[in-house]
Amino acid sequence: MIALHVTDLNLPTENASGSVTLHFTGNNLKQYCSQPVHDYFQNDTTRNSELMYLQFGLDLLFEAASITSVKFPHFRQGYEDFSFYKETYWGLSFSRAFVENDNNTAEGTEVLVTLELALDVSSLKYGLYFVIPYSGLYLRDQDNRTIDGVQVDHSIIHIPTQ
Amino acid sequence: MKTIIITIMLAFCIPLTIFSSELLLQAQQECKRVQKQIEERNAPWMAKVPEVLKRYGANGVEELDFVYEKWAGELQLLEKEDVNQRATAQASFFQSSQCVYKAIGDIELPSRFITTHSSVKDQATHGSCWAFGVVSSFESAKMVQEGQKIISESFFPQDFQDDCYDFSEQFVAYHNIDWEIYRHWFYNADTQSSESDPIIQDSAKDKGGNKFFATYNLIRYGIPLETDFPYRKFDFSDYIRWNPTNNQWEDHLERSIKTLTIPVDYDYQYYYDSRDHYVNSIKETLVKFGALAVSIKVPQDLYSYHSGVYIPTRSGYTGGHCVTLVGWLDIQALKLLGWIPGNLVSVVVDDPNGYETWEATEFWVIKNSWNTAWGWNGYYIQPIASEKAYNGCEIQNWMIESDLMTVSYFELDNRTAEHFDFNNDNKVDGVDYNLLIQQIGTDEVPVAYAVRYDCSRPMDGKIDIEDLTSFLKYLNGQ
Repeated sequence: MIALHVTDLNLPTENASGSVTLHFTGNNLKQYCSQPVHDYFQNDTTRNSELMYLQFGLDLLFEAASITSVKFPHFRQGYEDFSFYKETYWGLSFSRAFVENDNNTAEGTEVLVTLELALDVSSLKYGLYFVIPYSGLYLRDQDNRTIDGVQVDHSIIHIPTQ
Repeated sequence: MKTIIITIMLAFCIPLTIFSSELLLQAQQECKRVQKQIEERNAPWMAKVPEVLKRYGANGVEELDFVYEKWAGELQLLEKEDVNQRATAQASFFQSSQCVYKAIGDIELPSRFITTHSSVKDQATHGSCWAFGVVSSFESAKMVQEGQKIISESFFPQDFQDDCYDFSEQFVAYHNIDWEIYRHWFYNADTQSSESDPIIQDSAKDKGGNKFFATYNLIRYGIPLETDFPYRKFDFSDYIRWNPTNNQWEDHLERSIKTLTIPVDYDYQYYYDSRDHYVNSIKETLVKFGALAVSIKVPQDLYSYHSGVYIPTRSGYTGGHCVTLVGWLDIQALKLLGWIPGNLVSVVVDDPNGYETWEATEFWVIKNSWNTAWGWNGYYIQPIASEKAYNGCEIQNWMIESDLMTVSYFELDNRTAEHFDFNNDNKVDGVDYNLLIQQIGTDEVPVAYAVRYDCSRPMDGKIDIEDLTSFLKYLNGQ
């Protein structure tokens, strides 16, 4: 499951900007993608190789936020990280890319991205809205096939500010 | 004993003859009506009672409407299955497995061309045209992308048939989309929101399918051989049965990597610069990647098509249908076929569904799944949308340009370091990757960049996620 979590919210005031931290997690994602065969039902069996590339976005659905920092925590043991993010006209796009590297022995976390945003006072007017949009979503294995069956939580997170 | 056998044979044969006669009688009456309409409109094609109907009669089919319903019926919904009975997928994953192909002009397009493809099949008594269209495209794509191409000056499509691959339509049709769940998702108030990602569930119901979903299944499930999973033509079941005949069928699965698409674009011109860019994208796909699965709405008179350039003689449609685009012909070929007079330079398309006439000088060659005893040896010919038709919103639903086209892609051409060593330091590493990232999102690719950074398979005139994943695939494969 790829999901979005909001932590560390500090609302802005007339005199000081606020901040919010977002975590994108991929619980069980590594384990799922490392299984070559997914035998959901007797006659519906999908196959994939190891996770190679993952892309998802964040639609802010409000203005008055700016990026303070984007971190890509180490995610996969035995892989080198080629991650990056881009700002788009609708929000942000995060790419996590993995290349095999046996020297990278550290165990990874379940966190895909940690994003810190600064909030200005105008964000108080309507509240904060965050969502992982279903466009711009890619999950490719090492054969460059889409990995089927991963759940993505597209629920809108709304944080009222008044 | 001999008397008993003869009696039994007569008992079966007499009703079959009656059924056959009734079906053919209806078809003859229908054909007369169509022929009259063709004459009234001076349309450039001929109608004939399809010979294939004899097979339906021999299998006990009495009503012509039953055949038409199976060939191109309207979608019918049965009861909704439980959500947990079959595998599901989210629509966003379909989209992530597809990439739009744009012509890049790296090959010279001939005035007529037919791509190598498998022979004409017969969907018979199932609404499985979509499975036949997609499998036909898959078989052609595999041959063409592996370099197994028939080169010929002929303009008869059957001269370009090669059956070295024959995959299972039964398996593809078994993995249909559950339309009721799909509709439920779209129209249920609880799920109708901007962030909802439609859930697609498999279903074996024989009630019309979807090539968009089927091409995704060719990636995630793969497809077995026809010999391991044969098609059941005349079982008269409302469900497509699970009937592997070889316990080792999974050992012979073939899978595509992704799906190339040609989107509908005549209104918005979002993907393509012009009508020529759009048409050339289709043509390049046929030449480089194989036949395309395409969709149409079927006018009533198409069932009686025999030969010539098909243009409807009456407005309206019966139902949806999926077919396979295998090539195109120029007007000279039509003259050599004797379909149009030698002095004509174009065919006037006087479409009763449209508002204005337009003139066609090129024509798509389309493979159907209604047996070789239908149409022009199983094929038919449709005019290619002219500039006027493309820009004037005259693309009607009987034309293949009215819907998304798809072809499976296998990424067979091996890329080497020189494709990815962007800084020419004789190694492919993170520095090259970062250079590529900086180019992402470039839609109008300058020639110099196209050579360096449009490194995906196939090259598509864009620098995007496909180039990133091609790069990563290379690094992981080293």
